[in-house]
Amino acid sequence: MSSGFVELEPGFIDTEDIVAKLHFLEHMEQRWPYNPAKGVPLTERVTRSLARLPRELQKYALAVFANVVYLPDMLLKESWSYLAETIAQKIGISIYDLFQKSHLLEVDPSGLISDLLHENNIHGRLDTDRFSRLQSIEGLAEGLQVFGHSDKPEENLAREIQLAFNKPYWLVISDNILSGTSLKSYLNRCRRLICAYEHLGKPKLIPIGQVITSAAEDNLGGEEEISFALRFDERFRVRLDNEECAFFSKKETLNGVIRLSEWLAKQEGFVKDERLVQTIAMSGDNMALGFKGGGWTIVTPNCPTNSLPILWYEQKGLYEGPFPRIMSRLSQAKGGGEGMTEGAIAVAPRVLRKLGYKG
Amino acid sequence: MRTLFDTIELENIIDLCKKRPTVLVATPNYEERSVGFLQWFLKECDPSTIDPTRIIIHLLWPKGTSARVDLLEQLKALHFEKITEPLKQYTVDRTVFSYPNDFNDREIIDHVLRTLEYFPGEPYNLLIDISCMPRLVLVSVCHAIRQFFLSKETRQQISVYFVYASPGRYAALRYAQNVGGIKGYFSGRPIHDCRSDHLSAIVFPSLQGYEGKLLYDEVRTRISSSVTAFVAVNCNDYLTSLATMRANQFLLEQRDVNISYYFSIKDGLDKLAYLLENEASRAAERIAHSKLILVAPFGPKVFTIAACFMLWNLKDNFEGIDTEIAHVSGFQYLSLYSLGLGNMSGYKLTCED
Repeated sequence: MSSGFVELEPGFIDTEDIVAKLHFLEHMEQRWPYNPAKGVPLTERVTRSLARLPRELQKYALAVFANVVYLPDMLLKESWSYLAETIAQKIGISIYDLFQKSHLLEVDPSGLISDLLHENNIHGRLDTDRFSRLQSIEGLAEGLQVFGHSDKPEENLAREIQLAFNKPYWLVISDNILSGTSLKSYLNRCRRLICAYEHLGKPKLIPIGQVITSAAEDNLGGEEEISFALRFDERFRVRLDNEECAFFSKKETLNGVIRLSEWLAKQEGFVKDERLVQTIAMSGDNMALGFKGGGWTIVTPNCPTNSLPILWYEQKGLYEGPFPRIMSRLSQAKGGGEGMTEGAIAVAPRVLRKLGYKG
Repeated sequence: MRTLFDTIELENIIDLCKKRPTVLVATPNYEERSVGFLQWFLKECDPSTIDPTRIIIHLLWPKGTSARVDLLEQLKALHFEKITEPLKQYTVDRTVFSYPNDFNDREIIDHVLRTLEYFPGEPYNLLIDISCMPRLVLVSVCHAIRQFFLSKETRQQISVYFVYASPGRYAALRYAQNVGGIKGYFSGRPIHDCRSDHLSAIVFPSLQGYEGKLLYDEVRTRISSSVTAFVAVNCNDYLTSLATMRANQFLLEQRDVNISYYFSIKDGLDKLAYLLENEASRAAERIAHSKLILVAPFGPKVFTIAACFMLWNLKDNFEGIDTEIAHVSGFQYLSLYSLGLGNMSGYKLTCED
C-alpha cells in the first residue's frame, strides 16, 4: 500500500494492528470483490481516500478501514438456509412446509426472495398457484386498490390476493436491519392491512433479516421476534464514549475516528449534497456517523448508509470512500408506502364484497 | 443401516430420563466445565420424577503421567468436589485409564459396551458428556456405539445422546505452537501414508489456525485433491468468528479452497452431510479411481462425532471409498485449556434400518 502522504506512526500501526487487519480485509475482498468498486483494488481505493483527508486525520481513517466488518454476498447467501431452518424449527414444521404455508414479502425489493428460495432448494418460485406475485407490502396494497376500483372481475388479481392472505405466515424478509426504521414502518403497514382484511385470513408476521443490530432491536421494541443470522451490538459501533467498542486499542483512536467523521460531515459538499439532503433530514442529525447515528463499520454488497460515511461517501473532488455505495434512495420520500396502505384499507369493504364476503 | 445426527434441547433429555433408565458417561478433568453438565443434570433430576436408582453415572477417569499432572489432578479433585454430595444418591462407576500415554482404545470400547450390563434387556438412554473427553477417547466411544448399532438387538435397546458444555473462555496462548504430523483416527497412521487416486478434504478450522495450514500443505502434495473449509459464523458473536477467520487467513487466501460458512452446529451438520453425500456420489461414478474422503474436525468437537457416523454411513452405502478423520498431535503449551463454563448443548444420534 502506498504511504507517501500518510504520516506513518509505527507505534500507532502496531497498537491498532493496522497492517494485519487491512491485509485480511484485502484478501477477503480479493476473493469476494466489492462490486460497486468496479474492480479497483482495495489498496488503490484506500490510497485515494486518504489522499483527500487532512494529514492529521489520515491515521484514523486507516484505523476505520482496518476495522471494516466485510460481509460478502456469498457469506450472506449461505445464511438463508440457516434462517429457514431456524424458523421452521421454531414453528415445528419442515422447511418445505414453511414455504408452502408462507407468503413472502421483501422490505426493500432486491432479489432476496429468489435467493432465499434457491438456497433452500425450493422449486417453483414462479408458480402462481404457490407463491403470490404481490411480494411487497406496496405491491399488495396497490393490487388491492386496483382490484377494488376495477369494474372487471380481475380473476388473476383475486387469486393472488387470496393466496397471500390465506397463508398462515407472512415472512417479512430484509437483508440489513440496522436502525430498524424501515422494518418498523413496514410491519406496521402489514398489521394494518391484515386487520382491514381479517376476513381473508389472519397471517402471523415473521420478520427475518440476515443482519440485525442491537440498536434496531431497541427501536423495534420486540413486538415480533426477529430471526437473524448475524447480530451486531455496541462492540461494533463507533460512538462517542462507547466503552464497549472492540475495534481500537486506545480511546484516543476512537475519539480520532469521531473527529474524522465530523470533519467529513462538516464539508460544504457533504452538507449540500442533493443526493443526501433528504436522508440527512430523515436521520435527524448531521449523519457524521451514518444514518440515525449508526456508527457501524459493516460493509455488505452495497455499503449501508448506517455505516460511517467515511467508508462509503463519494463525491468527485471532495472525498471518495473505499466502499462507494449505489444509492437506493435519493429522496427518502415519506408517504408513498403509507398512502398506498391507507388507500388499500379504504377500499377493503369493496374488495371483500367483490371476493364474496358479506357484511 | 443409517445413522442420523441432530441437535436436541437439553430439557428434552431430562424428560427422556423420566421415561427410561439412563447411563451417563462423563470425563471429568481439570477444566471447570468438565463437571458443568453433571452439576446441571443432577440439579434437574428431581427424585420425585426420576428414580435415582434408574440412573448410573459412569466416569471415565483419564490419568496422565507427566510432571504437570499432580497440579492438574488437584484441580480435577477441586472441581469434582462440587458434585460429590449430589452424586451420593446415585450409583457411580469409575474407570481409570491411561491418557495420553499408553492409551488403549479397546479398553474404552469395552467399558462403554459394559453399559449394556447395567439394565440387561431393558431399553435405556446412553448420555455421553463429551465436553472434556479427549477426541481420541471420543472416537473410541463412537466405535463402541457403532457396535451397539450393528446388532439389531442392542440397536433397539439404546437411545444415544451427547451433551457438550463450552468453556467460558479459552486460556491465552502464550507461546507459539509446535505441531507434529496429521494422523488418522480410524487407521492410526499418518495421512501421508493413506494412498488414493483422489483425496477430498473437508476441514473445520480451529481458533488457532495452524492445523488447517498443516492439512492444506499435506493435501496439496497429492496429484489430485480438493479442499473445502467450513467456517463458523457465530450469530451473536462475530468477533469470535472474525478471530477464527483471521487465524485461518491462509486457507481463505487459497483460491483452490472452497469456502462454506455455517451459522449454527445444526447448519454445519446439514451442510457437512450434504457435501459428503455429494462427494461420495461423484466418487462412485468414477469406479476405476480410488478416493479418500477426509474430514478434519479441528473446530467444534461435535463434528468429530458427526464425521465418525457420517463417514461410516458412506462406507456402508458407497463402494470404493476410503474414509478418514484427521487429527493433529501437538505439544500442549497451555497451563489450562479452558476457564469457566459457557453454554451447554445436546445432540441426538438415531439409527435407521
